[in-house]
Amino acid sequence: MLLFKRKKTRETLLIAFFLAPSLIIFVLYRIIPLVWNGVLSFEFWSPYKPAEFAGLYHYQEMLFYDDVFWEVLLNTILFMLSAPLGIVLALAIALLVNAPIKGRNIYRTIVFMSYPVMTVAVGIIWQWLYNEKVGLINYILISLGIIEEGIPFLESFNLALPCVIVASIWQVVGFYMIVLLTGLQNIPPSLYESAAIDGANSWQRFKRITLPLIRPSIFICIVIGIINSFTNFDLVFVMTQGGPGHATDLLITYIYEAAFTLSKFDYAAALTVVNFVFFLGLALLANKLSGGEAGAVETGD
Amino acid sequence: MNRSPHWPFHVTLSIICALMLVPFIWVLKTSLTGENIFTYPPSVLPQDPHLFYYVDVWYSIPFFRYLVNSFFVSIIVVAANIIFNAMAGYALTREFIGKRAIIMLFLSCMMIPFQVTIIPAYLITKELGLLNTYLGMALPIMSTIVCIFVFKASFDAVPKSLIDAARIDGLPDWKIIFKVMVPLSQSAIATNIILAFIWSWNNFLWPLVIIRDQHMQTLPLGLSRFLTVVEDTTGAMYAFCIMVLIPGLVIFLLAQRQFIAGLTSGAAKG
Amino acid sequence: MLRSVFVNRYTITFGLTLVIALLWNLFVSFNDSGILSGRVVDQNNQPIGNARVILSEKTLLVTASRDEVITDADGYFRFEGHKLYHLYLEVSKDDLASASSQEVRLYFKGQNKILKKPLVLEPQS
Repeated sequence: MLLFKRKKTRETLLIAFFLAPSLIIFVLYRIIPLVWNGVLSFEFWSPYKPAEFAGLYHYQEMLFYDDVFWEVLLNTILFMLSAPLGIVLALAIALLVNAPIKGRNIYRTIVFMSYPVMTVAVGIIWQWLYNEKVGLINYILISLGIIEEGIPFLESFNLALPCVIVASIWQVVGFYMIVLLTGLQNIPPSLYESAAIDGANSWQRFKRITLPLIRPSIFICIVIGIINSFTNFDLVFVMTQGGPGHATDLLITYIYEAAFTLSKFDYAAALTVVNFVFFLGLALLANKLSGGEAGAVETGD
Repeated sequence: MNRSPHWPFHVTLSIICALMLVPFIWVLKTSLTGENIFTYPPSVLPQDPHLFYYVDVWYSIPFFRYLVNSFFVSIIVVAANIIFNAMAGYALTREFIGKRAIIMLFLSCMMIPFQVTIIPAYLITKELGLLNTYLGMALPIMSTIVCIFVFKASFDAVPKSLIDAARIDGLPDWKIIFKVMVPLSQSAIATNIILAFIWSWNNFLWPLVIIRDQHMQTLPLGLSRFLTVVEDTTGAMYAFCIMVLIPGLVIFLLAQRQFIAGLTSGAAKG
Repeated sequence: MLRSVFVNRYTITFGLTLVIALLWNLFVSFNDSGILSGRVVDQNNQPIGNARVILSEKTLLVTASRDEVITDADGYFRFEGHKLYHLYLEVSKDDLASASSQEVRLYFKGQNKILKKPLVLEPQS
């Protein structure tokens, strides 16, 4: 009996030891920062003076006096709303590369290749494609006779954000495609066969079989799109630095600017709280709509 | 079933692939010639290609130093990831009190994007005295929840009878891990290596926040600051892009299958 | 089994990269004495002695003159021990000058190089 008990303790110790490193990292860099961030947002604080309780001061400033906040929030929402565009595009590509044709693996690789490359480099490349004088896009538009002279895409208040969004879609579309493809491949072929026997045409087959069965994959893509719009710092920072004005600033770049350029850590913390709550709400909503499949993890007992 | 002809697929896909590839090809071409787009007639193939822009990049910034920094951080991240995630994944296959709570904790951590915690994370790193260090850059991504679950799934797939047999033979736990579990979970390890490497290699925001020292910069930082250091760099800038892209691309192409497997299993879990 | 551990696409890729890097460094270490030599001629391809050749550095960051030598009777000149990789040569003698400075780009700092094409001096208008 004693032996058994000691063995039990040893095993518990072992498990604790195994879990410790990961737990320490997550507590140190996820849990504590989250709480600290919440606390910080209710304080007046800067690296050089002691903290002081501020109540809702920062939130009031943000909601009622900071026009930039609203602009940035709108940009983030627009960025997010562009996700379905990418997903539809990705679905079309996924359907194409799911067809039994030669060389489809090569097509898949090429479409996916833009995803794992360094976003900073992608930003620089696209910044240059959009360049007013030497950019490829302007060059093509001029050659086709659509415009007379180069458009300064990224310096334009109206066009800058759509341009950044296009670059972002270009980068992430391969990832959407892979996720959707996984969904498509899980559909049993027998379903299509019996539908074909029943005389369903290909559009009906798509609507009745494909779409419902890849719904979980689509929702995963939507969640990825939401995450992307809240975390896509690199691209915006490199391409436009949030400019012109704040036309392309997202919440995340605005937070960075407030904290590390203007040293308003407390205000940035309040922005972060809003950012997180907003993100969490949307992610949970998407999860709920998808019937919980997107976040489902078999806890495996 | 009636078989539709294949050529429309090939045509459409070729156009899509061309659109995806054009930025890469154009960057490659410019890095070799530096030629302005408005040189007439515009050529698709580079004319008089030379590698001197690459030489310019190599010498005008401490490129080798950045490369070593990037690799060093990535190696720390990859090594830590395999060890820590495998340990946590193994622990989660066992029964213990509070297992559900731990799993819930991990899952909720997954819903906290790192970007959201950046300010206190910076302050914590400062308190730990890890600003401007390799460890500081690596620490937040030394363990990833997605990969813990990849490991858990892989360990779960190991037949219980095999472990029991090993235990009856009197093998201690660590030996069971190295002799039985590790060989059977090679694909989980491969997935973890490639995911951790790519994440670390491309990581930009975190080094940007905590690295002030010129000599500790990683490649993405060097790339983003290159524009502000020099002017008129059409050729050199894109040579730099290519030099930075190549290691990541090579590793991705080598281990594409594992990378995609890791990403989709991560995506399937939120 | 052993073969697949040591001979696979990873070891081949990384091994090749290492080998190439090593060979390249070996090559560099034998060829970086910074020797740059060439010849100065006039429009009629006659060698010009006693001409001043100025070596200046031009990189993305700096432009500065670094060294100068005088050509010998046969028009030959030779620099040694420079540590540059992107440089310009300017030639002048009394009332003669090169039409424009000659750009020389090297693959590494101080790469030994013999200019095949002679530098041409023209009368200054």
